[in-house]
Amino acid sequence: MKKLSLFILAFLIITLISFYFQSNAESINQSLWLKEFTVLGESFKLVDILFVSIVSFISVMIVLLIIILLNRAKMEREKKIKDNLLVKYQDLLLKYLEKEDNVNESLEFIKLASSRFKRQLLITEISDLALNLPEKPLQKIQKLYFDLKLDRDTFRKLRGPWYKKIQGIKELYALNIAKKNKSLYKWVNSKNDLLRMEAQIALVDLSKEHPESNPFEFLGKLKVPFSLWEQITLHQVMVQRDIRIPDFSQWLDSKNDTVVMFCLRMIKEYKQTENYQKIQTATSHKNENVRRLAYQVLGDLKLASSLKQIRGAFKTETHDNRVEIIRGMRKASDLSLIPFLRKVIDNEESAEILVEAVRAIADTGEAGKEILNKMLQSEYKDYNIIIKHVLDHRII
Amino acid sequence: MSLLINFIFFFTLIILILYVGLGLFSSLALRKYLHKNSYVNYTDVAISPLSPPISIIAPALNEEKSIIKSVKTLLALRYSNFEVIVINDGSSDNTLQLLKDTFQLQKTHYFFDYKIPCEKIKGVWKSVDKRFSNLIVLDKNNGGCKADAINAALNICRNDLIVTIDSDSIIEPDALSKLVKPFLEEKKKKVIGAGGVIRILNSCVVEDGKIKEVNLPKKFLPRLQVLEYTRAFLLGRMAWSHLDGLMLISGAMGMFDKKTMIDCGGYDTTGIGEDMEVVLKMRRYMVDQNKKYIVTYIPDPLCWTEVPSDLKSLQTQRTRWTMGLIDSLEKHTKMFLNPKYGKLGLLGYPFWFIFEWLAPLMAMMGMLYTIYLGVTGSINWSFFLLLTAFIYSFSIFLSSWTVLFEEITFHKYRRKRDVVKLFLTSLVEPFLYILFAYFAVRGNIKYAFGDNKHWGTVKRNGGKH
Repeated sequence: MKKLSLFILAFLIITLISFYFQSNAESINQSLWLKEFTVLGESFKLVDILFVSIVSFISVMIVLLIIILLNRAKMEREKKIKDNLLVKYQDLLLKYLEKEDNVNESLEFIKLASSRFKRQLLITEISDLALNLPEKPLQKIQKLYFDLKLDRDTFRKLRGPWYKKIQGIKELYALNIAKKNKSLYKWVNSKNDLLRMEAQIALVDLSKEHPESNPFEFLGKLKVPFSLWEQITLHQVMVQRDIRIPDFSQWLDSKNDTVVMFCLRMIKEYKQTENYQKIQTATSHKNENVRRLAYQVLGDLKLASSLKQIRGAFKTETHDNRVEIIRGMRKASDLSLIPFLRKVIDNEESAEILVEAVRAIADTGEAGKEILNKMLQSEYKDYNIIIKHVLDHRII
Repeated sequence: MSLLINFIFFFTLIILILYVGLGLFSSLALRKYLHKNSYVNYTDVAISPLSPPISIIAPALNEEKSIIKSVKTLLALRYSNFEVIVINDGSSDNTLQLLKDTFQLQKTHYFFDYKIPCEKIKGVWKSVDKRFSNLIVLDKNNGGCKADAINAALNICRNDLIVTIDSDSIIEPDALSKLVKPFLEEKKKKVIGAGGVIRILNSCVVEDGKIKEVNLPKKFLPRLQVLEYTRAFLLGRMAWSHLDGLMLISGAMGMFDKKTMIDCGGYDTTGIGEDMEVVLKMRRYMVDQNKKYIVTYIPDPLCWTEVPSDLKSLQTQRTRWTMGLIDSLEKHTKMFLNPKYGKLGLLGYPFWFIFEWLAPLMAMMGMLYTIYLGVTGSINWSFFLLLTAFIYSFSIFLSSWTVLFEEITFHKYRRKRDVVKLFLTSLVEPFLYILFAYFAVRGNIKYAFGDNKHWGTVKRNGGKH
C-alpha cells in the first residue's frame, strides 16, 4: 500500500503537470457545465442549474435557522405552560386525595383539562401518582380517572399506532385496569419489541387483580425470542411491583430457548431448588447457551449432587461450557468434587479452566487449602503461579 | 484532457449526491431511533443483577494531570457489574505512583495468559480498599501504541464484553447501559461491536469528572470541530450503520465482543489506525467464518473529549488520522469491491477509499491548479466564482442541516446565541477545508515515505475547561 500511496501521489503530481501544459480556456469550454441540453423543448446549460442551486441552498439555510429559533421559542413556551399546569394538577390531586367530598376538585379538573394536550398531561400525572399509591387512595384516584372519562382517551390510544398503544398500556397498568388483557395477549408476539415488552409488563403487573391467574401465562404463548433486554425489564418489574412468583420450572420444556433461559435465570434469582431434576435436564439441552446457563444455575444454587452427575459431560462440552461446569463446582464448594477437580488440573491446558479448578478446590475450605499448599511445592505445570493467584485475597 | 475534466466533474457530483443521500438516510434512521428511544428505560439495565458484566479498558500514557479524575469518573458509572482496567503503558511521569497512592494499590500475584502478544506486563495492581475492588491497574512496558496497551488488558480482563476508552475522556453516566443495549436485544445476529456519539469537551464546565455545564467552545477551532463531529456522527455513521457499512468505532469509546476480538488476534500493533483496523478485522473474520453479525451504532452522546484547539495539535491529529486511514485500508484491500463482504465491501470500503482518502488529495490538487491559473492569468473568473459560490452554498447548506440535527437530537447547546454562533461558524468553515486537505496530504506524504507508529499527543489542559 505504501507503493500504492506513492503511486497515487505521483499520479496527482503528473495530473497537475499535465494541466500545466494544456490550454486552460479550452479546457473550461470542454466542461460538461457549459454543454447545452434540451429537455421538453427547453434548452439549458448545466451551469444554469448552479444559479438555482446557490439560491436554493442559501434559502434553505436561512429557513432552517428561522425554524430552529422559532422551534426553541415554541418549546420554551410549551414548557412554561406545562410547568404551570403541572403545579396546579399536583396541588388539586393532593387536595382530592385528602378530602372526602371532592365535587369542587372534580369540577376544577374538568375546567383545567379543556384540551387534548391538557387532558393528556393530567392522565400522565394521575398515572405517575397511581404507580406509587396504596390500595385505598388508588381506588380514589381510579374513580377520578373514570369520572373524568379519561379511560376513553386511554382506550383510544390502544387502537392507535405502536407508540400510542405503548402509552395506553402504560396507563392501563398504572391504574390497574385489567379489562383489556385480551388485547394485551395479541401484542406479546408483536414484531415491535417495545410494544411486546410493554404488553408483557402489563400482563404481569395486572395479574395482581386476578389472584387465580398465572402472571406469566404469556410465557407459554411466546413464539418470538425473549431478548435479555426484555427479561431484565420484566425482572425489574417483578422486583419493584411485588408480583406473585410462580414455579418457573414449568416452562423449562418450552420450545422457545429464550423462555427456557429466562426461567433458568428466575429459578436462580428466586432460589427455586425444589425442581432441581428439571434444571439437570436442561444441562442436556441442544442449545449450548441453555446448557451453560443450566450449569451456572446448578452452581449458584449449590446443587453439588447434580453437578456430580454431570461430570461426564465435561469431556464433550465446549470450552466455555467446561469453564462454567467448573465454576459451578466452585460455587457449590463440595469436598466430594475434589478428586474430579484434581483430575481436571492434571489434564487441562486451558488457563481459564485451570484457574477455576484451583479456585474450586480453594473454596472448599481448609481441606482444599491444604491440598493446594501441597501442590504449591510441586514443580509440575504452572501450579505455583495459579495457586498464588487464587489464594491472593485481593483478586476476586 | 476532457476525460480528466469530466472525471473531476462526475467525482464532485457524486460526492455531493452521496452527502445529500447519506444525510437523508440518516434523517430517517435518526427519527426512528429517537422516537423509539423515548420509550426506553435505561435504569433497569443499570441496576439489574441479570445485566452482563463489562470490562472497561482505559490505556494511559503520561496522564498524570487527569488520570485520577478519569478513574474516579469511571468507577462512578451507573452500571451494576463492571471492572475498570487502567493500563499504565510505561508512563515516564507520575501516572502509576498517583494511582497507587490514591487508590491504595498493591501488587498482586495475578496469573494471566498471553493469549494476544503484547509488551511485557510488569505487574497487576489491585486496591486493598473494598470501595475500589473493581479497579485493576496493569503496569507494562511501553509498546509504542495504544493498540498494544489494549491487547495487554485483553489478556487479563474477565468479562465477555469490553469497552475501550481514552482515559482522558469524560464518560456519560449511563453510557454503559446505552452501549450494552444492542448486545442484549439482538437475537438473530451476533453483535460484535457498538459505538456512539463523541462530543466536544472544550469550554464545558467539569466538576469531579462530571459535566456540570455544556458550553459551545469559545475558541474557533474547537467550535469548527463541533460541526465536523456532529456531521460525521449524525450524518455519516448513522447512515453507514443502517447500510451495514460501518467501518469505524471511535477509539474514545466503543464496546466489543471480547471473544471475537481475541479470535481475530486483537488490535494490530504494527499500524497506527487501530480503531478502524480492528473493526475491519473483526468484520472480515466474521464473514470468513460464515457467521452472521452486526456492528451497530447508537446516535446518543456517550463521552466527551477534548479536541485540539491550536493548529499544531490539529495538524498532528489529522495527519495521524490520515495515516491510520491509509494503513487500515491497506491491510484490508481484499475487501475492496468484494461481494463476499456485502455492503461493506461494495459500498463502505469504496466510499472510504475514494471519498475519504482521495477527496482531500483531489481538493489540494484543484487548489494548486487554481493558483496556477490565477498566476498565469488564464482563469475564467466568472465561471470560477460561480463554481466557488455553488460549493460554498452547498457546504453551508450541509452545515445548517448539521445544526438542525444537533438541535433535534442532543439539544445540548441551550442558549440561542450558541445556535447563531454555530451558524456563523458554518459560514467560515468552507474556507478552511483546504487546511484539512493540507493535513491529509501531509499524512499521505508521511505515510508514503514511512513514518513510524506512535501514540498521538494532543495538547490538553488537564480537565480545566
